[in-house]
Amino acid sequence: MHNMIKIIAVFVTLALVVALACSDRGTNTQQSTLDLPIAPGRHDHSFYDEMMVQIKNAQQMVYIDAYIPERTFNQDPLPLVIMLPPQDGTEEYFFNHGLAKVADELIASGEIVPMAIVTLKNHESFGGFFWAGRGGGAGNYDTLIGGTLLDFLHESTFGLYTDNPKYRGISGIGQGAYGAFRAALLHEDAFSSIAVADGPLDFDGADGESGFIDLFEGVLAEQGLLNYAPVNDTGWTYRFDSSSAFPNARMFIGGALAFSPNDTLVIPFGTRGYPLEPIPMIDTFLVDRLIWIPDSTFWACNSWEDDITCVDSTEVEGTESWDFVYIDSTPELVVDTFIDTLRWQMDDTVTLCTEIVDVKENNFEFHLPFDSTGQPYEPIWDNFWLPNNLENMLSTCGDSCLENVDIWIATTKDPSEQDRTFGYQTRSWIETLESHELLEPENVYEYSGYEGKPATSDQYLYDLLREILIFHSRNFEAAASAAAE
Amino acid sequence: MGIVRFSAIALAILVLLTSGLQASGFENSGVGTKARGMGGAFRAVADDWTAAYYNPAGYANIWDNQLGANLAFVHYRNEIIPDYRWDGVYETGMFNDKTNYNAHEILSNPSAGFIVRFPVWGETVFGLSAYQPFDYNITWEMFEMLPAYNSVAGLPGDQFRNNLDVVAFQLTAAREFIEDELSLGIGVQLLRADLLYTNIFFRENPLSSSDDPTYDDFADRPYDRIPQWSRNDGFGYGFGLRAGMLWKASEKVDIGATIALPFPITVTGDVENRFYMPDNPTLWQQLPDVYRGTVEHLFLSGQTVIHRASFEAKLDLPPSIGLGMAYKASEKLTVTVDAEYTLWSQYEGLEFTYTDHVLPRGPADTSVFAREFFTDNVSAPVEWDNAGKFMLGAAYDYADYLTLLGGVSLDQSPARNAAQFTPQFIDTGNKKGLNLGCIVHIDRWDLGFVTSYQSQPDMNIDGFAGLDAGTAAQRFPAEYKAATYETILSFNYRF
Repeated sequence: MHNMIKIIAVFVTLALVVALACSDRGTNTQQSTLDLPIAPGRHDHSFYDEMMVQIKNAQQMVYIDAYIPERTFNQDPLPLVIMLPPQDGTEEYFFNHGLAKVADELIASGEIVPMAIVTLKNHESFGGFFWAGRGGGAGNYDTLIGGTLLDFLHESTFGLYTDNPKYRGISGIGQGAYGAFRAALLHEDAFSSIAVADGPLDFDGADGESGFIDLFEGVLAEQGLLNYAPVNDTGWTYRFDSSSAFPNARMFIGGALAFSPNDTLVIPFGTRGYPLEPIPMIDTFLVDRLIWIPDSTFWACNSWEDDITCVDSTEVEGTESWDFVYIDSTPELVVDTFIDTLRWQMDDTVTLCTEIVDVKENNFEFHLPFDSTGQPYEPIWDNFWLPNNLENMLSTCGDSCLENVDIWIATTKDPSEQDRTFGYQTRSWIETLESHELLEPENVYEYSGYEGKPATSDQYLYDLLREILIFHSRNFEAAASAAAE
Repeated sequence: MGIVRFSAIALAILVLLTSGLQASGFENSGVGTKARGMGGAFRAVADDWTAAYYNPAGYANIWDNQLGANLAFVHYRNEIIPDYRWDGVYETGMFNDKTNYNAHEILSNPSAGFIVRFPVWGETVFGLSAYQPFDYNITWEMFEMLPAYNSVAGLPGDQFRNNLDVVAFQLTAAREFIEDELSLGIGVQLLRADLLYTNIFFRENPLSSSDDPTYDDFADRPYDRIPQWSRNDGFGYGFGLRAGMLWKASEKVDIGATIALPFPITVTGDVENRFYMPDNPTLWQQLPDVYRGTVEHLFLSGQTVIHRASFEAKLDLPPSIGLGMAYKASEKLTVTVDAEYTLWSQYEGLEFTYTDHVLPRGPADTSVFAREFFTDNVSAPVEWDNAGKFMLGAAYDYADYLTLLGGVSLDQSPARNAAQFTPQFIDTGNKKGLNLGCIVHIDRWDLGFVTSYQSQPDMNIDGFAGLDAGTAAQRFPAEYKAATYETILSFNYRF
């Protein structure tokens, strides 16, 4: 009997061991944090008087898109983040990199507070380059970003977006990064946080002789114009290709329109009663560096006819250029940004431009910051570009402009050849901010790519977006905590 | 006291040999309750039908006919904490930093055999048996696409799965060559291999290498890699030999030696590949209408492209040799020790060859670069090392009706030096096994019960450095923990 009890005990023990050892530990599948539907709200494109002088933006429209989290409409006004895309980035640019889903995911997981995120379009006709300009064909972005736009967003959404600067942040990448700081410097107390990734943040570099200066020669060389500088040769006009194939050339044209325009429309032509802010005329410096935007000499299509193959300007004017007409229901002129698209459209569509008219009266002239040897053209560079350099803007504004702004900057460790200058400029600006005690070292985010996929350009923006939104959110939460106290 | 001393010495030897042993991956842990209860140290005992597996020569010493079967219940209790990030930083959708368990399954592994003594060629004993010399079955679900990549489609639950069975139908013959001293036996096997193997590859988005600025955003993070779920399902037949020798060295000591020679098996079947394409509506909606239905649209619109084909894979099963000794310490106690050395270096992984490709009609099939992408063969070989196994066991006849069993084993990992390590084969290092059980004898029936626990050391696999940058399919960075529980029930009928 005693032995039998021992045997039974052994069997029971073994059975228990087996039962426990084989227990179900459940599934690995995670409960999706995405219980919110993706909800990018969309604004109607908005009209702004600030855009009345912007080249090829007769409608005065700023293209805007927005992310609005759901379930928040009955709550307090939403914190607001403005996101500025880089050169040639559309209002969809950040959404193309997953913005809406990243925001949804972070909100659902509680990593960020619900917030509205508004994105703008960098207009292909050089509007919004550097997110700067006070006319001169670039539009008046200096008044818009950090000013009119914020008022519009608050009012047009009936207070859905906050008008409290403590709950407003601004971000950008590339020229958008510059634009974010520029807006904060021009509109003190408009934003409480800035989070950006590499951009043209120090035009002349840490030593005053690098930054953009390193690019001048290359821009001319790729255009075949290095040391080509016959006085008043309009050949430059035709040869200076501003298409997307030459992003650096486009950058300097856009920058010149914003910083060093020579526009006949700027001062005297303030139509619609809008009081444009005058800018200094720069005729003094109008020498062989003067270039006018290519489309100013192109032709617009005035009437259209279906079912016939489109023609190009070669047949009309004997130029070497294509006729940069935009095939649409409304006759419109666009710049050669669309050259490739238009060629394609011309090949495949059945639309004919039957009448081409000269639109030279819409000339927009500007001064490039370098001469034909690729050296800085000092009258333009020193007087019109460098004053727009953030370092100088900070000096002008004073540290107090950014004292109450939390700043976060991401910079890549492995930039491409093309965006290396942005990396150097960013590091220089970081040093400047740190020397002014305006940037905490822990808010400098250095990142790199993985094997075979270097972190060039904006390829890791998806990951940066998470960091950017988290940074803004922490700032908003801190503001809320402070307010509660 | 002598028994205790013997056991202590044997255990000490076991510990000392731990670092220097060579011998066994997806080999089955054994057959039968008596053998398993003794830790697998059964070569020099081999006194029931399972001798077909451990030592065919043992049949010669079995004087009655037998019919036996057993059913093993196996539970792999493994854990993976992935650190599956590009460069250790960028999320992939893998369930990183959390403990993931393999799918809960109590696997059943049956085997059976019978022995008949015929008066042919002297007194030759024949047996027919069926068992699984190789068996592995594990399933993992550890991946969900990043919401920004594709929040619509979902992958099947068996994302990383390996169900590899090799069943041996073995005809065994054995006889004594020197009476009461030397027996030899041989088994001829018909092997059937069944393979169900799934994997996830992370394919580099082919648009990332395009110079066309139109595609600038198409392959940015998180669209830089396209998940490919691959399911291979097939089977094949082959042959094998298993031979053994049993030598009665003295009154108390028996020596057994074996060799197993499985021949390569060609496994054929079907493969289904599912490519989960990036879903970037804001980007593809910006494309002109003419792009709809084009390959560019295919790579942006979140579709699941299904590719089917036939596959063929060569399964190189490893030969092994083994040596065992049984010591009859007393009338009731038998102590055994075995060593086995398996040539795992013969196994070169599952390298698939695909033919008869079928793709959905449209750009996936008509575009040259897309077709190349979808039909690319991404399988790759592995390099394993030969591995050893050491077993120590004891059987104690507690009473006429009860035999108690105990054993330990040490089993070396063939993947210990391999740069490749994936969830489909969890073999993290030297495995230590502890087996306990008993056999109840009722008349002509022997009813067995054994439970075993096998622990594996924790292992950490870092990064993808230097490996398959294109697919990241051969190396799964993670912390691994593994243990196996097994319970075996059996009967043996003597007649």
